[in-house]
Amino acid sequence: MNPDDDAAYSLEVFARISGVETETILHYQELGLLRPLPDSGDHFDDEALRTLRRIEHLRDTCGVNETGIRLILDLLDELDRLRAAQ
Amino acid sequence: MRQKEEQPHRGRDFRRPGGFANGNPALDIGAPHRQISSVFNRERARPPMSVEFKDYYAILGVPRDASAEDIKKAFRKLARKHHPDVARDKKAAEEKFKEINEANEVLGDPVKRAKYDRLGADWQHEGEFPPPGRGAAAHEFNFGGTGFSDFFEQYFSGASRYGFPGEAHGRPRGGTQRFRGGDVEGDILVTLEEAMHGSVRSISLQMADPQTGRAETHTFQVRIPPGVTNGKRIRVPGQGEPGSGGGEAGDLYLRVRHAAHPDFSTQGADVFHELDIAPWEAVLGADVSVPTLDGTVKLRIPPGSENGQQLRVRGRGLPKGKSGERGDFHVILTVQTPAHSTDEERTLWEKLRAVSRFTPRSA
Repeated sequence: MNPDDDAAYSLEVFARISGVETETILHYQELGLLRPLPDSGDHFDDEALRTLRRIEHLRDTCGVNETGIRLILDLLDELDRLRAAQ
Repeated sequence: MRQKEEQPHRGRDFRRPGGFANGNPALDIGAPHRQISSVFNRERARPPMSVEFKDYYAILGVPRDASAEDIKKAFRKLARKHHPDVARDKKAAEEKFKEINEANEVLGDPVKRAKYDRLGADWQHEGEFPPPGRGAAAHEFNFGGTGFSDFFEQYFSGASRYGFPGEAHGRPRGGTQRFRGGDVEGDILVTLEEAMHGSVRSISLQMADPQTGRAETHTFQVRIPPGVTNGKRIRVPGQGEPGSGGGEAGDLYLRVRHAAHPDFSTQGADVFHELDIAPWEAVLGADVSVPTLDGTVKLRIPPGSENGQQLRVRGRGLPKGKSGERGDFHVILTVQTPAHSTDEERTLWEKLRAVSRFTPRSA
């Protein structure tokens, strides 16, 4: 069963479940690739986890740099929007 | 032009004997443990998975050249009849309702409908379709219990197979390095009643192991939280692609698709309802009872209301998370004119025409 809805993870928990270092997460946040939940300070949700996994995949497996990651994430978002609007 | 002439014939060809009867496993779209005849791995060049063509026109009972308005009307009528809340045989109604919804989602959208008509034209083999031309995936997925048929998932959802590849993808397998499995994504059909109150759904995911080619099915429960909005993704940890070398499994993300409802539509947590009213109700005002997703509300239509005007009932939409807050309920007034009038009514309209200084065309 999936956890309770609207899960909000602190930076430490977020780092643990994603397996990504806190510094790296903060770096992505500074770059604007990851956004914490509004009004939460530094809590992240499942949507952010999905984004983080995509960033790591693009960087680690595909060897994409940060500029490329931003571009690809934007394109994937656009694709999602178009599919949802269909 | 040639296509058009052939349409009536194709229409019959789509249907295989007994094709849409209840109990046909390939069409049993809501079954939690749906059996899939073949799951394959395209990298190993196995025969393509076959899905059965669904005759959405027959499901809605409309001709192939039906107008968008006809389709909308047919959907509303059937959706009212088979709505799980009103039907006596709830289980059968639910299956039917899902089928109608799916047909409406495809035929009610001009782009999807065109694609569907093209698919039908290309269909040659008895009940079998080539899989759509997507890139080869490490795993092939099959969902059960999401409320969508295999046919829909393969051609219209676009979601079930775009799971992000795992870390091990493209690297030599069988080594000692541990890799986390990739995330898998799919769609889940959620009725507005479920979105209102929340529910628990039984979902099955069948995957073929790329090394052995053997299919494995996992069945698990997914909690649909109250107030879940259209397009929201629900994360199910550990139900994605299996890891390799002892790595953990990926996650499954299910994207929520609100089922079309005959009376309501949604935008975020707000619910919309079109209310048909008589001309004199718009002019003189009226007190009416309006259905919502949880009981009826009394609504005062103010005198001098216009067609298309919106009235808002605060806090009667979908719940917003756990805060106890709720979206709003919006009523869109739709003035209906009587199609037939008695002699007496006619006399009164004529009198109104003679007396009224109302000019609908300002110029």
